Amino acid sequence: MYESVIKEFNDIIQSDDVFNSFTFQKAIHSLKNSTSFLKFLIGVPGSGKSFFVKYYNNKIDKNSVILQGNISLQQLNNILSQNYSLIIIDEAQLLDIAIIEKIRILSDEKKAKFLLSMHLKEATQILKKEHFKSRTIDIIKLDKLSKDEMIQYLNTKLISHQFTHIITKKEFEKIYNYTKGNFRYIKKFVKTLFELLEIAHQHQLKKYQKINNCLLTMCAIELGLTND
Amino acid sequence: MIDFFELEKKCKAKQRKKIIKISIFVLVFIIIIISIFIFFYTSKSHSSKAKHPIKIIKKLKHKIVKTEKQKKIIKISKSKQKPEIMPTLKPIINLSSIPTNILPQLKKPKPKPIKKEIIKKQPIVLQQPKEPKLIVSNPISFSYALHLAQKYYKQKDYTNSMLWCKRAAQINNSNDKVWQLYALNLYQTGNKQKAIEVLKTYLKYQNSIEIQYLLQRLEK
Repeated sequence: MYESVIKEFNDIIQSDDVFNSFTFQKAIHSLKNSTSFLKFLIGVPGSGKSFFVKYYNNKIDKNSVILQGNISLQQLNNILSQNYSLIIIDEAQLLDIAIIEKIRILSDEKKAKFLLSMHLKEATQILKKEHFKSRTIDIIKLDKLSKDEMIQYLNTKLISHQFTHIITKKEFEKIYNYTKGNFRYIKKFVKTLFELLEIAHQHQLKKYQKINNCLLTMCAIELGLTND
Repeated sequence: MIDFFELEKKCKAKQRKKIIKISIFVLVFIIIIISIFIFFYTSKSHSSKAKHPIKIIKKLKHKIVKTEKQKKIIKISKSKQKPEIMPTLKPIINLSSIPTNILPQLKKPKPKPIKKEIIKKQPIVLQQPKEPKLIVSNPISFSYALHLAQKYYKQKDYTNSMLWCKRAAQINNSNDKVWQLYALNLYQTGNKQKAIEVLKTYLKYQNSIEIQYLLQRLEK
């Protein structure tokens, strides 16, 4: 019964499936208008950094390239020789200090533009260093979704599968309290919720035919989002 | 794969924990409120009994002042209660020396009380008493008694005159006229020697020229 909805909320990055939240639009705008050669895209895990760089690469700047994780100097030199408009390095927290230093030098010499996507914690540690402080660096931050944005996102998804008013306002609030506006957690939570509904439907458990407080708590326990 | 029933158990356990936590919190809150209430209630009761030291001092001062005032009042009342003792007349004549058969019985004047009693004056009735008696308590004045004695003497009623002389002497035993008249009454009744003795004994305690002159005349 709920299989299509469950598929909808799989944790897969599909650049076509964009949700124009405020923070997303703000990040796009700042990246487009940025003039510095070194930019940092920072955010907590699950805030949509990977989706953002993919979306930017596919839809906005097709002449950019995305590199994943820890790259070597040789790979970097190869990329440089190809004259991309923007070199995007996702999960840049995995880079060596030497590579980061190289990237910094290259951006100073204006040989290439770089966008480093990394977690907030690692970014703050790198940016504290003196040789990064003195330079003009653009920092693009991806914040969490607001409550209304989350409700809007979920409703658009559910309406497309003909599940209207299945989640009440109070339940939305509880979901937001558990997920705290994190995109990844929201998708996982809703997916888990519908999986439980599917199991209850299969076992004909009358108590769990509709979404209730207990089901939401079970989802939170499954995802480790409770305080216990 | 999600274990539905395991999750359900965990969910119920979590709910139970939540209920227990809430109930404990409520209990603790109630206990705190009750203890605060009891604390303030007991502190108020103690404060009403244990008064401020300044207040205690003021009260003690007031008490001291009160006791002093009471003492003063007691003193004043005691002083007032003392009866006014009239100055006693010093006996001019030693009554013990005088034979009782000659002289009337003289008594010491009693001290007058503080309360002034309204003395009802009896109307003066000039009637010859049949058997005049020496009434000490009869409030007759000295001058009236003497006047009666003199009147009886002029009427040659020497017995009555002598009686009124005694009465007058009871009131005032230091008057010469009383003893003079008494001696004359004795002389007229034929008791010349007794008259002389009376005058001599009177002269022992009081000098009187008239009495001396009378005595000289009687002795001649």
